[in-house]
Amino acid sequence: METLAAAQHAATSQDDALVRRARLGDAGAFDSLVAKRIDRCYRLAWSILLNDADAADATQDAFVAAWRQLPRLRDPSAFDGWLNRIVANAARMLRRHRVRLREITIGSPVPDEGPTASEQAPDPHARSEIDGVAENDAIGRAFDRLRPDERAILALHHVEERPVAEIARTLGIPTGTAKWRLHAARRALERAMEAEA
Amino acid sequence: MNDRRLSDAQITAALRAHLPAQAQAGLRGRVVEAVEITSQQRPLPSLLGAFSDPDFVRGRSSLLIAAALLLALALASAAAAGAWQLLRRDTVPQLNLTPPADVAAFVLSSYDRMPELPPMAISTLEDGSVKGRIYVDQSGSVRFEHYATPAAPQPDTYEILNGTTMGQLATVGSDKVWVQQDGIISEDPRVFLLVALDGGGSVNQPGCGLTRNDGDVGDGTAASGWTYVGTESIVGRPTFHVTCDGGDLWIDVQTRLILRSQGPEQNATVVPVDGQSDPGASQAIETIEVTDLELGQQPADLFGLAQPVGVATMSSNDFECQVYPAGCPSLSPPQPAYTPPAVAIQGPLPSLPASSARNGWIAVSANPWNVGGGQNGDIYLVSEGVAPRRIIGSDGDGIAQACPMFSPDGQRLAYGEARASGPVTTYRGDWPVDGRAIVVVGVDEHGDPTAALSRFALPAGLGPIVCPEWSPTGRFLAFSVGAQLWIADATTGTTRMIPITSVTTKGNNEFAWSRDGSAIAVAEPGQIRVVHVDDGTSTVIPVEGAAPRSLGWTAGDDRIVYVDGIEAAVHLVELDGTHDTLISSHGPASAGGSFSFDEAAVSPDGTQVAYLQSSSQCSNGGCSSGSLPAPIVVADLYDSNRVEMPGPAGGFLVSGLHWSPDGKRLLLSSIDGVVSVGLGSGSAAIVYANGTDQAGLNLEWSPLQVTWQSVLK
Repeated sequence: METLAAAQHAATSQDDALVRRARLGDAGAFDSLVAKRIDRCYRLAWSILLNDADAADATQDAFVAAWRQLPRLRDPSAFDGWLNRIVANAARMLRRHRVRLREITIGSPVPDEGPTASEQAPDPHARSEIDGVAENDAIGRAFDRLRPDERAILALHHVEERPVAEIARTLGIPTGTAKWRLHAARRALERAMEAEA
Repeated sequence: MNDRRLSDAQITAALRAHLPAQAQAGLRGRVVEAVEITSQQRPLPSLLGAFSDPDFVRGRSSLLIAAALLLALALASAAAAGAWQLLRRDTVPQLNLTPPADVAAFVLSSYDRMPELPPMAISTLEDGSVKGRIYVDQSGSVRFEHYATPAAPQPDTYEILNGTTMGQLATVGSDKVWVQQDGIISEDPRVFLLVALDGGGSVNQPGCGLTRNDGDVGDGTAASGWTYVGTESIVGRPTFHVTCDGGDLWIDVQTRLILRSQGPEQNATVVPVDGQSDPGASQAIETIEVTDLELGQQPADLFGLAQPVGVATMSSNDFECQVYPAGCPSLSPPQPAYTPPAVAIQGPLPSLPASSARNGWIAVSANPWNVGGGQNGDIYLVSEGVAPRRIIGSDGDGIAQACPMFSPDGQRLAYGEARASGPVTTYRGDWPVDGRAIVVVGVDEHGDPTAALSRFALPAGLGPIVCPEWSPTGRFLAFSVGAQLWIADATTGTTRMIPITSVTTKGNNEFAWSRDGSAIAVAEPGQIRVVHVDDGTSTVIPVEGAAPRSLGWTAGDDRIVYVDGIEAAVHLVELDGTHDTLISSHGPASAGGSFSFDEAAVSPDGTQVAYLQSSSQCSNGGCSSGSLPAPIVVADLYDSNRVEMPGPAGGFLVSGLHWSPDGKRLLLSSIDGVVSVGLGSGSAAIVYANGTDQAGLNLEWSPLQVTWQSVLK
């Protein structure tokens, strides 16, 4: 337990130092921060946008925005919540601009049951990984029908395992509200599953 | 109602399969390339004139950012130059007044030679009206003084940069405060003279910088745009007059100090972030002129870091929040003073019989998520085996009643109420409601309420609903309203208001009465304020960098438990601010993941702490690793004799942690409703009400503890 705590603390301190260096203009330090977070940020953007091309654009936009604004970040330890917030905002912005104009990388399988999805079909490579697992597949389809903010909070909590306090900071809401929204998103997912059935 | 419940493990597994495991190939490379050609929004221009800016801290921060970039170069230059030469006042060495062949190098030497400056005193005039004095001592310490008028005999404010420490006498509102920060000066303090002397002269154009690392421009163009104008005399000293894109500098040939700077008004290029304007952007200075320069040793006492007599100390965090609220998310604007109505008592306090309820009632308010429609937002009483009964409020009344709080004698119930014309959000801190008031009603032995005994009206206009807390004696009610802590006498209706630092622009500060009722601890950004009830004075426990909440006093009122919302951990701190100790230990390694601790509660006897522990892998009643769920922890102070109890079966959305009056059970809200969990093994959780769809209940345990134990057996 102590080893785990010590390792977490060491990692945090190391990241804080990288943030401080990046804040002073060290692009190499920023790249180190990017390397550790790019998959997570990409997934967060994807959960809002539901396709690879837009998720990649939003992630890139977000990192560049983070780099530009980094000198204004006061507390290095707040970096992750701050970055997630930028990613979520970038994805929301892009989504507003591209509703109805979304690029679809490959002809995706469209769910053949249930109500028409309000978003586009999920990405094919993710689909292939869960091929044959009906329950997961149904949850995935239900997930795609949720509102973007519901998808984002579920992804942050269930996939990225971010603490509720950080999710609250990411979304700019009190912790209690974050808990509530998490609860609401989960219930929405369950209702969407019922619709699947 | 919903037969398709999903476990956390199901959701996690499905979403992990559904969402892409990795970013697109090549995306990182694209990010790196984009970053390489993107400039950071470095607030360099705002450092100009920073020392005349009332917000010196902001200017200092900007300067430090800039100076950090330049430090290596400056120090290398200083080393190459060797020890600086002491200059004598009465002797001006032979100077070469030939116009500089390399103007850029000459201009750059203005910064490079700062660490070589000898002891001196300088008088300056900004834009012909603002007087400044700068003192430099032999060790490199610097004192910057700012005078209200050119004729003022004493400085209005000043900063002393001594070694790595800066102390400053600053103005906050109409008061003077002393702010001292250790370890924030990481270079020779003399380099800060450049900022103080370069007013409008250097412009923010490529080639017009004064340093080699010219912001985002790059080394190659630094100072290359400067051209020589002529040799002129300022305060009797020869200077080279240089110009660049409308800005002019007169640089002392001997010391390379800038003796005059003049230029077009700065058009600061700081780009607002998140819609916030930079308050320094409009405070450009057009000219700064040295009006007197005396070389020679200066009195040592000018550079001592001593708090001036009669001036209060303010932490750097607080100061920064005061002068630069845009950068301080937790500070709310000051609120106008409000005087409550003189008569708040609505009726005499009835003499109520002692309650004979067998079981202590639990008062519950459901979240008023739609006040306009009248749904929820009412107060219920619940107890084991008895259906929840609404005692306050009705459907469609358009009023939210929340935060019920039994008086210590169990005979009165205080709560907050408010109105809203439309739907409002669910979190109590966010309710933008009006018609706010604190109401007190009597409660009889059946749990039936009387008409209102008192009603304390709150300021008109929108604000968050206000939650009261009874004093241990049951005479006073305290509640937090914006930047004020109110202490209301429930027997006379009189109210006192004590200024506090508001914790947020939306919610109200959390606070806790001491056990003896003599003090109230108030959670503020970076500190815990202890308000002394008798005279309204307060002392501050610094918890730098923390966002304290969930406050609780330990036995003897000598320590305070708090949760730091930033690190999501439980702390214990002495009243004098010492021994601030992390007491929430991370759960078993087998639970895995990272842990957060969002709520804590001190036991009724003040000797134990209960806290909710959540693991990122196990937080919602299921563990992705298949091991332990997040338990509720009870431990002695400092986390000894730790007992972990399983949380409510639903395990999700657990909050509202309370101790039972007898200290033997814990009360929580979860998606299962109001849940009590017995301390120790084998004590099953008891669900008092099915709270499905009413998550976020606000709980209060009535203090009728005498019958608790027998009923629960």
